[in-house]
Amino acid sequence: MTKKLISGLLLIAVLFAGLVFFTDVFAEQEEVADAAVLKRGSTGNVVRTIQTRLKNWGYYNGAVDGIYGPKTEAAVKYFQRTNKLVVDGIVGPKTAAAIGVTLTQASAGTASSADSYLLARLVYAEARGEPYTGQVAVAAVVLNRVRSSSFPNTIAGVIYQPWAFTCVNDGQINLTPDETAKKAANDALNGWDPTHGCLYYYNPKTATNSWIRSKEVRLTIGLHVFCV
Amino acid sequence: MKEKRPIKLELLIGTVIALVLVAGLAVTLAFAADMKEKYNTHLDNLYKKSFIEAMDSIDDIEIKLSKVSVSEGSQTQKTLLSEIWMNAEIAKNNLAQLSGKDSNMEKIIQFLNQMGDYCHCLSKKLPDDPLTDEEKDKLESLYKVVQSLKASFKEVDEGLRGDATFVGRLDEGIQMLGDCYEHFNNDSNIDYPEMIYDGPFSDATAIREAKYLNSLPKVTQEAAEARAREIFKDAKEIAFVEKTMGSIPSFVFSVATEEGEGLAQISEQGGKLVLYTSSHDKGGAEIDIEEATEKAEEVLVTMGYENLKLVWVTPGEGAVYLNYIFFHDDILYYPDFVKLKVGDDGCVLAFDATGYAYNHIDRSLDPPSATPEQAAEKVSKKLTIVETRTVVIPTKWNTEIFAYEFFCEREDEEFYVYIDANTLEEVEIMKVVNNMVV
Repeated sequence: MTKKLISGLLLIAVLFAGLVFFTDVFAEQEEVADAAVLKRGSTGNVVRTIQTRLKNWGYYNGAVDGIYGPKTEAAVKYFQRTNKLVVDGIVGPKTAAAIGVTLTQASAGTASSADSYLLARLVYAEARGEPYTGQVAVAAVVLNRVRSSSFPNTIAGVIYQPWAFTCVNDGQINLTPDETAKKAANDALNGWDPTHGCLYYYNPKTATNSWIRSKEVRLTIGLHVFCV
Repeated sequence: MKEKRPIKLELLIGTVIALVLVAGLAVTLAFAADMKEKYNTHLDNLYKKSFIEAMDSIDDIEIKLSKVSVSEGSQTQKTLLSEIWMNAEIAKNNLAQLSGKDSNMEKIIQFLNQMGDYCHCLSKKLPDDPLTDEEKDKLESLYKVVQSLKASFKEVDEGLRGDATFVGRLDEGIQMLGDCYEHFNNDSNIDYPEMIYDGPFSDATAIREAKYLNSLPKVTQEAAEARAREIFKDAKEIAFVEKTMGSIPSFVFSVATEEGEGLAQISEQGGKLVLYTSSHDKGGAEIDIEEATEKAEEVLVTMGYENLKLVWVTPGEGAVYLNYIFFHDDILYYPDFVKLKVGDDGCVLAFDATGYAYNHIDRSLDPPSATPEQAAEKVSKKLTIVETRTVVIPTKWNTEIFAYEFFCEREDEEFYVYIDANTLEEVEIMKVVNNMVV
């Protein structure tokens, strides 16, 4: 009986210690950027610069269009052969140095900047489980607010405006966003706005605020209605 | 005696553990209470800093607006107006940090944004172009609004003197400010001037008309659905979802394809696909830009968008964004854009013709009064011009400028410089950063 009491107390003590020491979860992960190389299929202004240089030096005779196609690849190989580099048709650090361009700004895809990551976090926290277009729309509402005179004019200013988004108040904003949320945030940053300028959204089933219900509803996507 | 010892020992151990637990709990609670106190103080300090900075800035704005009203020198006016713009920024940023749960501070932020923006616009035209009587009147009415704003902040400030805190009585503290916001929202004595001017926060930007679509006839829901079926030939299912309101009233259809789910908006005016977004679970394969471009151009033709030129390509994750601009008589019309997102398997994942829908009209521009050579003279000598084009660019307040575009380089940096084709003013400089134009 007493032994049971002791082991019970011990168990409580252990749990208690656990409670004291592990109340915080440190589970933040940093993304590792891909190594920057340019190869067939790459695009952008660094490709454009490479094409311009190779053209000026007589290695390339195609269009300077920022698109790394077969002609660009052939020109890069020609350049590599002439300059005693590994002939693989890929602009890695050595070839880039020989051509005189920096590759840091050419890393995979659009900027994974603090803003786009923050926007993806908001989309994930507010609209995971919603249709894809609904997720793009939530990101677009944030960007519409940034451009609006009635709200702060930065992405962080809009997202962290106190009480503006429930997920910021309850800390869900700190969850790690999934790929869908990141894609939706990127689409919105690239200009997609399924709401055509809406500044608010709410779930009509759960919203209790009468003020938000007085807004003019423009469209419904999934569980959210979007309004101005 | 011997038999009793183990029980005594067990009791002793039990008592010790119990005591340790109680002591531990007490220490933890005391520690938690102390932490809470520290967090509260810290947060309250941040709130107070925001409040005081906002109030100070509003005081400064009031003083400077009164100085502007009695100033006759254009250079003094210019300095004061740009300082007001800066103060308004500070006031607005700090106030945004003081939103309450149910407080509606949009009007107050809008006022500060527009006032700052307006002063900024006026300061830009000074000293060459002096303030008109109308502009002076508007500044005078802004001054009156600021006075009223200052008075209501002063009340809150007096309430906060003593030991009052924002955080200790969170609801009440913010509520005091909330009353300020309410006063600002509802007081019929405050006379807000109409804010239409050449700036990004002008009231004029709220009014947008879909010029292109409105020139086309209306279609029925059935016709729109038939159009959707024509465009999404391979869809497994297309279903009507709703009709939307707003500046581009549209019929929305859900589109289920092999690859995923999407929503398509077909405009009521003209029956055009204006917007489409879809999820796409594939990805990771290499994107062949040429293939993506071919696919995009095929889709554009099906949709009836012609004379478009690919001007910008942005790779994204598992997809590429292609930006097309209306091109006619060697002039690129940037406001009339159509964007496509093409996946690595060649599927069009998203489509956006809102720019075209809002802006495309027959402009019939008069030939520019300046030549490209004259404009090139205005480009910084630090830059090497790589390419010159004649363009129409949009402003942030939805007007357009006829300009020459110079794509330039300086070592590893790339810029787009825009020179007004009539006035030869340098109107915009864009820089390429991370493959985006900013």
